[in-house]
Amino acid sequence: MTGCDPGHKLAGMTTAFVPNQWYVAAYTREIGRELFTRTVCGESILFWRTADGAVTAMSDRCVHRRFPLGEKPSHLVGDTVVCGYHGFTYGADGVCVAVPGQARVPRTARLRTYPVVEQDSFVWVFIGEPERAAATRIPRAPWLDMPGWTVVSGMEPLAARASLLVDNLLDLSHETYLHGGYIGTPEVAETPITTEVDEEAGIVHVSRRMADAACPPFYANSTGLTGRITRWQDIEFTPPCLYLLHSRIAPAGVLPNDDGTDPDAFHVEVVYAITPETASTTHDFWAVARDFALDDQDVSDYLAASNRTVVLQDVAALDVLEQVISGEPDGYQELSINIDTGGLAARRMIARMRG
Amino acid sequence: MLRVTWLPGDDRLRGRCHCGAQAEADEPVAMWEWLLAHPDHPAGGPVSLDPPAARPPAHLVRST
Ligand code: FES
Ligand SMILES: [Fe+2]
Ligand SMILES: [Zn+2]
Repeated sequence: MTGCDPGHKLAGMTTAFVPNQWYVAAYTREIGRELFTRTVCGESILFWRTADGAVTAMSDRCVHRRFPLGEKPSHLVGDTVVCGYHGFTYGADGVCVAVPGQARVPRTARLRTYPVVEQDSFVWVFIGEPERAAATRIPRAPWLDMPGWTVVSGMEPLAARASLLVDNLLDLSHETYLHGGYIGTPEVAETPITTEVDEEAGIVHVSRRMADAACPPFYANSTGLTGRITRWQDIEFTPPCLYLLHSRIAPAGVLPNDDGTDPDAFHVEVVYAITPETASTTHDFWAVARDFALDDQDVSDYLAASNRTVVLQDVAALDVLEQVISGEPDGYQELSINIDTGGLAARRMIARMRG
Repeated sequence: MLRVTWLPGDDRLRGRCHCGAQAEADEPVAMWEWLLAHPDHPAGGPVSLDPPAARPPAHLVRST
């Protein structure tokens, strides 16, 4: 017995996740002086900001009779959380500081707390043994909180296991079919890809560089380019959670300068955080950062609405796929072809991290 | 760094290990198996293990 509250875990779901990793739990803007809960890797977690502005994360179940602390009438009083059922009161460190009707607070009355870090507009939470948090890398998405970039972002709930979203994002040839008329054009599925696995860094790269492609509405309407384009899609996936798509759009034939500067191209950093909620549901965080039309609200509105539409097309497809797969006996059949090279590499890396 | 390149239309995958070993494969499962066998990359090159199915499997649905 550690004497510490074990955290609230949904039954039977611990082995489905990569342990001892940082996961995106929320956007920083979502956490304030109101109690906020989100389930990450099957653990229901309560988030709130102290009066000093620091984010805290602790188990969302009162140790007394399990009332959810994120549920009204539970509430904050200064830097304490008061359980809405019988009034057990907890500090920012999760330790119970007051119980009703008696002066003695049981020593074991404390909530599991979680390491949290705010970085790149995200609140990251460490799921696993807390002493391993400091030495575990938090992958970066700096464009989400950087001068010179404008960002739109959101989060859609996905009723499918996280691995289906990993498969989806690592193989962008599906843009041609599932997202035709938005971000897909014939060239995406037709263009060579190079897949690289950097075992040391724990990163899967998939690169597709279209020299002369049609410009899909998503980029035509945001950049104003009307003709053929050079379109680069360089994926950088750091399992289990953070996916980056470095997207470069330029008039056909326009390449970066030899010194690395690239003044005539439009750069879009598409970021996904793939956070398992339960073994069969996922938080699908998406963000689109751009280095052009920085103050143009119409462009922001357009990119936000379009990307959300595209994400919802994926969500609809993956929700159906989850239903089908979960209804099939274990060990269902698949057939992989060349387009799956990156997805297979990501799966393998995740399986190894899961141990 | 392990690298797999693919030219659509060409159908073949080309894999290169960080040790310099190279091979070609028909599909990515065999390609990764071969690359990840480092340092013992099978001499015969990647082998796809899928036996030709006599008859495609039925789509089974679990009773609920
Ligand atoms: S073509 Fe990919 S699932 Fe049908
Ligand atoms: Fe998609
Ligand atoms: Zn090798």
